[in-house]
Amino acid sequence: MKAGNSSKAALALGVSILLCLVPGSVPADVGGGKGYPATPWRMAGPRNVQEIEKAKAVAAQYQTLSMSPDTASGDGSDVLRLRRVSLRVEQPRADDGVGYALVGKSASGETVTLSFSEIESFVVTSRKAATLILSVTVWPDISPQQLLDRQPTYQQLSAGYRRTVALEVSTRSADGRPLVFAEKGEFGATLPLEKLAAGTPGNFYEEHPHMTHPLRFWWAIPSVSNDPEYPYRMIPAASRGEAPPAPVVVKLADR
Amino acid sequence: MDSEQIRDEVLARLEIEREVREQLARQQCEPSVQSGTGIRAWLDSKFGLLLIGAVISGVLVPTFQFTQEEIRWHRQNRYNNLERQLGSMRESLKQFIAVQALSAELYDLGLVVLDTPAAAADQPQREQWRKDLRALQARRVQQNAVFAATVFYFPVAAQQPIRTAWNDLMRPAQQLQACVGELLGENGPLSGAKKSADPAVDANEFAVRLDSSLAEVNQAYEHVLSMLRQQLIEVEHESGKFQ
Repeated sequence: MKAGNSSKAALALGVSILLCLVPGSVPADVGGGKGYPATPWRMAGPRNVQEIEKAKAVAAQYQTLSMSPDTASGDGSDVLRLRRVSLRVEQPRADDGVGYALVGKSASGETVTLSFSEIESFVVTSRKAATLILSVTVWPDISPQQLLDRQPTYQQLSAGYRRTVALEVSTRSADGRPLVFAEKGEFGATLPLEKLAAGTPGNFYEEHPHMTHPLRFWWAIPSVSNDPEYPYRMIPAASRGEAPPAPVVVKLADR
Repeated sequence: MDSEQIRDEVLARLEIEREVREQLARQQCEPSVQSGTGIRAWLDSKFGLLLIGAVISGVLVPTFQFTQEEIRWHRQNRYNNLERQLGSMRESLKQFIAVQALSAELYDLGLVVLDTPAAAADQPQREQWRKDLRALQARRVQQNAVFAATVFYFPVAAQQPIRTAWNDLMRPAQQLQACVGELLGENGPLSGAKKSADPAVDANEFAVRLDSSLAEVNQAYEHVLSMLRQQLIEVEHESGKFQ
């Protein structure tokens, strides 16, 4: 009888240990979504080039620019994040337009327009009285037609399709008003181009991969977003496993 | 008496007179010494000491103790207030995260509806989803109210910016809810979207709308959360001064 009880206890202990170990091998459920890829082509890929071109134009309005204007080293200590960034004059009037591209002159003097949707990052290499020289990394440097024809994976796209362009952009509009990078919204932050010192970096892909807007990724056609390495996923912020701040014990020294 | 004797006597008198004059002059120059000596003498007296002791133990010590108690009481009061405020702010943060958890549930429900093929979702199943949506809507309204009521616990200067950021979060959260409602035909079949000939295009449009709403909810949530955390850090820092 005694031996029977101990074997039952050992069995129960074994089962308990197994039950404890099993969930550890199962991928953690973040509890708020399956982490679907963030893409404008979630359930159906683009049917033609025009659809990708349309998505690319929309994507330019959904980019997030991360900058460290006060630290030329860009150590990330004080990052200014401008969501749905645009380029406009500082105090716009009703008839003032809003741009979603960097327009400037290349080294050969040719006028170049780079949409925010095809810029990965840039660095201010030098500055003159009313212009900035930027070294812009263009990515993904692929046309909608090539994207549709080649059907690259994310890893292929990430490894290549990149070029650097030197661009001289004006810090003021044609009528002399200062130009700013501006976040969307009435109270959105702004960053005047005149304030950017040489060495200041700007990055369009520094945001948390689970905090991005799906309409940003015009290039994330199914061949790209089905790649397991594709990092941009839709996960509700509250379920990302971030613990609330730890409780702080407050006490009087003489208590 | 001979002249020699008379001369000595006159000299002796002159000497005495000179000494008296000098002494008088010295006393006229230091009149306070005599009066100071009097106070010191009074202080040195037994009665003086008794009176001084009585003033120290009867007036000065109690005044000092009272002032110290008052400072201590103020400190304790401030500490208690901060402790209460910190507890309430933490509770508010918890309620806020609970609001966002409901948005996550809403998004999950939308995903389930989207991922279930139309043929597999029979009428009872769709009715159940609608019930779930209505239950989520009711919980969201309640939870929103609970959080909104706790904004009062934050420092006065921060309350209005928190409310503004909170209102900015309400808009995409409402869009998310409307999107799930449309998926379930709550507001009529596919009322928010142009119905396409290809069902896959419609499904994609809904999926992207759902994802876009979630992205906007995420970003607005992060904004409010960072504000609440900043306020917590500031109050914690203030409370740290008591340690």
